[in-house]
Amino acid sequence: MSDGRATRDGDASMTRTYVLVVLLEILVLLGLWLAGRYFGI
Amino acid sequence: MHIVDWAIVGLYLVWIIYDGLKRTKGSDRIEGYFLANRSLPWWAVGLSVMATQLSAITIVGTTGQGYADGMSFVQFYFGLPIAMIILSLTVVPFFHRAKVYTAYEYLEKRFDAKTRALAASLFLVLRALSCGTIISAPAIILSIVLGWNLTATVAAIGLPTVLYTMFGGVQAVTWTDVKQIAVVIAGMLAAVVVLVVGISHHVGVSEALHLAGATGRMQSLDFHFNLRDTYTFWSGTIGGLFLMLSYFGCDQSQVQRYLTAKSVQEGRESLMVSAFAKIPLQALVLLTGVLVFVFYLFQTPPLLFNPVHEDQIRRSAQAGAYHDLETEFARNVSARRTAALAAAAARDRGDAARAHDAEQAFLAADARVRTARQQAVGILKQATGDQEYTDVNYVFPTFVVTSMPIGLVGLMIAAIFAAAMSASAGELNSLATTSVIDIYRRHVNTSASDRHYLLVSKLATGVWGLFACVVAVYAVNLGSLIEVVNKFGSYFYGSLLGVFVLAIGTKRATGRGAFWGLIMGMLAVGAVGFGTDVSYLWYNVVGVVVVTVVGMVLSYTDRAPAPTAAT
Repeated sequence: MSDGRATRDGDASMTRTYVLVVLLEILVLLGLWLAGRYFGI
Repeated sequence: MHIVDWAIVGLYLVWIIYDGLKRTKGSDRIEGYFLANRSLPWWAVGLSVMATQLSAITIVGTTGQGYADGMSFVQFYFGLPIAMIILSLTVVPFFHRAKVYTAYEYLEKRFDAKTRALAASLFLVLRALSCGTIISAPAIILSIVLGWNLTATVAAIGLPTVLYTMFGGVQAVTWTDVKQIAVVIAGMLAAVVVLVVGISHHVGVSEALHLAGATGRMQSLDFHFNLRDTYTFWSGTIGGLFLMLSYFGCDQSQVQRYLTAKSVQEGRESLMVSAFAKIPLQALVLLTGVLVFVFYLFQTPPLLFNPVHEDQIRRSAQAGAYHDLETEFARNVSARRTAALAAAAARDRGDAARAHDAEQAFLAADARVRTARQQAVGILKQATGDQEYTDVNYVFPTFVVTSMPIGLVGLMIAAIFAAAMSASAGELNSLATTSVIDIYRRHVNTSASDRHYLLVSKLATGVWGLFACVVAVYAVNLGSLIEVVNKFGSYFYGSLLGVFVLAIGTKRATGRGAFWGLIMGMLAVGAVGFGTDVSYLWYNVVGVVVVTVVGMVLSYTDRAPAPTAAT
């Protein structure tokens, strides 16, 4: 039972990490795009 | 190089050898030697994954690209974070639960011995040659820029790496990787600080980036879709995704890193280190190159960054023409400096119309500087006969040795050593693992003792290490061959990924389907590579699709039921 709970907790924690990875990538891409726009003009 | 810098490089080497050799605990059995008894924490494994991928070529080549083309190369990594999520959900749990030493071992559990042998052999050929390149590229550049003996430089990078990898196994590789990536990041940050301080004597950081932006170097994203263009948002996101899936999911030099993690959860978390940090780190390295460009707006750069080639011209019949060109180049650089200062001053005053005019004058002056450099390259090609000449990889090392202060030069040279050593150590370790586990223990001597396999593993590490050093010394005369070797990797990476898609993604796939799918995939990629001018990042997509389709069609024609997936 405790192993199952640990696995579920691990999965939930990894899901949050995956969402954070995607959000960070979007933010970095946005930052790079904005830097290109701002400094390119 | 100053004695203080020599001392720093020497201290770095002693520290790494000492640290690597003391990490032999638990390496007296083969599982400890190759997999650290699956006991390492996620953060150490994650940093080791990054260190293995980040070679010295990344430091000198990527800063050179930033200098010449700007930030656009960062797009190459756009597929990486998504690839890490996919791998963390798929291959990490499969490999861990299968209790394998190598990715290719899993292919026999799932398919058959010949598919495993083919995949392992492809890996051995590619990695053996690339390991030599990883050592040779920085050794050639450092020996030219610093006037060092090439063989001695190869030995200084290669032999300590062989020593601690041979005796310490994967524990030594991982824990030295952690230190080495810290040295690399410290070196890069030191270079950025020196650049910012140097530039700020002339213009502010914002104006500096505007000057870089005026030349297009701050443009990171290109949404234009063309299969022939190598670095676009689409090739990086889609082609790069498949390349990263192949590299991190099927290449033993990476798979072995996360097989050492103490659990599936920690293996998954280790991949997230790269998912979070890789793009920002690459952006920092590229930005360093962009700042070197701005730095050289206010200093006079060498007309050609490769001093050996420059000496050859000075001794040739073109020496006079080259001297005249140097005078013209210095005049153009001076005019560009004046124009850059005028553009920055106009922008600082908020005078938009004057800023625009001044920027146009700056761009015209920059074009004249580039023309002079192109003429110099033309003279060089005539004088040396080297039609492939490019000195982009020499830009950053030249900046380091001529413009960084005493002490930081040593740190930066140590960082280049660290990057080369961490990447080659991971490769040597994985070459030995695949040689022993997939070839020797499987086909040559199947029933020896653990102690015997451990001894053979250490010998294999040493032999591969010496082979890599020999390739590195001779690679100086094999310029175009290095390119062929690198291209060869992209010919089979996607196909190898296709086999793992069949293995993990489907229950119906059979050994016959996987084996012939892999062969057909490589042939298809070869046809695309030699018959079209499609960019190499797309080869991986072609490989995966052909292997999966051919493999599934053949599998469905097989009467026998597919073996059960080993999990």
